[in-house]
Amino acid sequence: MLEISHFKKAYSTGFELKFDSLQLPKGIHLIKGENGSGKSTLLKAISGIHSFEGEISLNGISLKLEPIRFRKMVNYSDAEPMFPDFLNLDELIAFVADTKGADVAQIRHLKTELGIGDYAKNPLASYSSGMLKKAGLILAFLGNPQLIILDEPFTTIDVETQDRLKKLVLSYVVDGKSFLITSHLADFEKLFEYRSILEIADGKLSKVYG
Amino acid sequence: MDDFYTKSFVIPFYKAFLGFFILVILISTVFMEFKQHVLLAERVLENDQFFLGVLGAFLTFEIFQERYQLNQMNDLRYRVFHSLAFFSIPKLLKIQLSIWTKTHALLLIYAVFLSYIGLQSQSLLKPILLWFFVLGVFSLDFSLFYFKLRRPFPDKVISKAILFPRIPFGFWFLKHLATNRPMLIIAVKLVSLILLNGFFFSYESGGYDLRWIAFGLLCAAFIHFPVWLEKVRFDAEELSYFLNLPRFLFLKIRHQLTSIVLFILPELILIGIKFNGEELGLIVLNLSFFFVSMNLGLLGLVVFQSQHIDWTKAIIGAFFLIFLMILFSVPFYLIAFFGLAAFILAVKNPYRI
Repeated sequence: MLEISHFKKAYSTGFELKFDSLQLPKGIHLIKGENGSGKSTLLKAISGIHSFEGEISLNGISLKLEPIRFRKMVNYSDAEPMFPDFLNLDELIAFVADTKGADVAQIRHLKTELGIGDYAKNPLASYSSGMLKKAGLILAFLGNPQLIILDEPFTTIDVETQDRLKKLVLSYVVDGKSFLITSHLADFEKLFEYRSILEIADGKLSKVYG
Repeated sequence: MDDFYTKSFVIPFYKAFLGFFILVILISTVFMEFKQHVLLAERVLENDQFFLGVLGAFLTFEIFQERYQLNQMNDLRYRVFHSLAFFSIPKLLKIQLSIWTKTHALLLIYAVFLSYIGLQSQSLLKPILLWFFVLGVFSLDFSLFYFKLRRPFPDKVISKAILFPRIPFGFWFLKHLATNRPMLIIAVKLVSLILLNGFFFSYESGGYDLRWIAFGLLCAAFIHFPVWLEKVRFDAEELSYFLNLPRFLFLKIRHQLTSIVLFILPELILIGIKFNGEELGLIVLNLSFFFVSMNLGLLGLVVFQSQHIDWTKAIIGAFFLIFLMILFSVPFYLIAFFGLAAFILAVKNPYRI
């Protein structure tokens, strides 16, 4: 499904993430690593936000050759989501739903599942870090993506939402969607049945399991 | 959804270049009469060089606006708009045309005005060329925006400044203005210095006494009002973390004073240049103290406004009160005392930086 080859991302600061090849089949995949190890760097490259050297393809569609087609299949939620703070969440949801082709029923379902009620009418400037995280998460589930990338999805949200999010992820997996999730939390490995567990350390990616 | 794009792309643009637009509106309405606009438009339509100048101005504005929009897209908060690329070209064209028309409203109004003058004077060639040029500019704008959306965003790498690795606290506001509100600095300094120069020019003709200069300094201080509004917002929102720290009043005054004096330094230098004789040292000191305290007082008023009083009335009231005090020859240092008092009261507040 997701294939990466000759991947390299280097910064002027001296940091570099490099590996030769990675193939991830359908399912849930976990990427572990310390803070600043390069997990977000890899995810942003896969979601088409930042450039990279090498090749990434999803279901045979190349990110470099067909960037729009590829990006339409991949949804991404940032570890610390940021949005224009003068907008409200309902406006953002309406916009992303328009771009990703999500319908009203899906929006209503996701808002219920993630515990986003009337607060979505308030400007994002008034949101706590937990609410901002929920905002990022709901946008990542909109539409009909093939791969959903969640960067540190369980940090800052309350326990009840964590449970609901877990159920939501599992229901999407049943529908044939795949997930790439990162975490630096120790007990995260028991949360899902992962197809593979990867670890990033010293600028290199290695497979721990799968 | 049109409102959504206006809120996201049009309003932030006008906010960022507010100073510039105020200046343009001020020049085109206060300093120019309609008759002069008509004369200028006729000259533009008659003279090729003037016409090329107008085209150059259109292109320069377009470069500024486009640069702003592309930089805005690189902002982490605007990353969500990367998915605009998923829209079909006609839909994206419609969205961008709406944004572009609103951000270029002033230029388009002027193009309509030139066309109207051209119609009246039967010289239609240049207006037609102008509209083709406008169309070309929009096509360029749309192409750049379209390709920007297709590509990945550039990485943000924070590099350490080599020249000033550590910026002192008092300089943070200036750094913020220089980074985020450069047009506000330019507009305020331009209007303030031109106005003050005018006051000095008429003073040098000999028909006025120092009260005239004091009035000029009062006006120049009030021109700085948008900057002090921005400062109070910056202190309250972006420096809110520091409210938690134990900071003594003396330290707070020193930091505030550093930022304010640094910002009004050009006006203080101008006072020094205009009264540069040895015997005039006391006047320079007196006027400088007066100007600094007027700005400090204004900052104090903005702080009070955000707490409990109606600032519009307070600001108008303060202006006329000080004007009357100058008119009735109340010593400058005494007037300055009121400004200083307002400033110290504002800074003394534990919920202020």
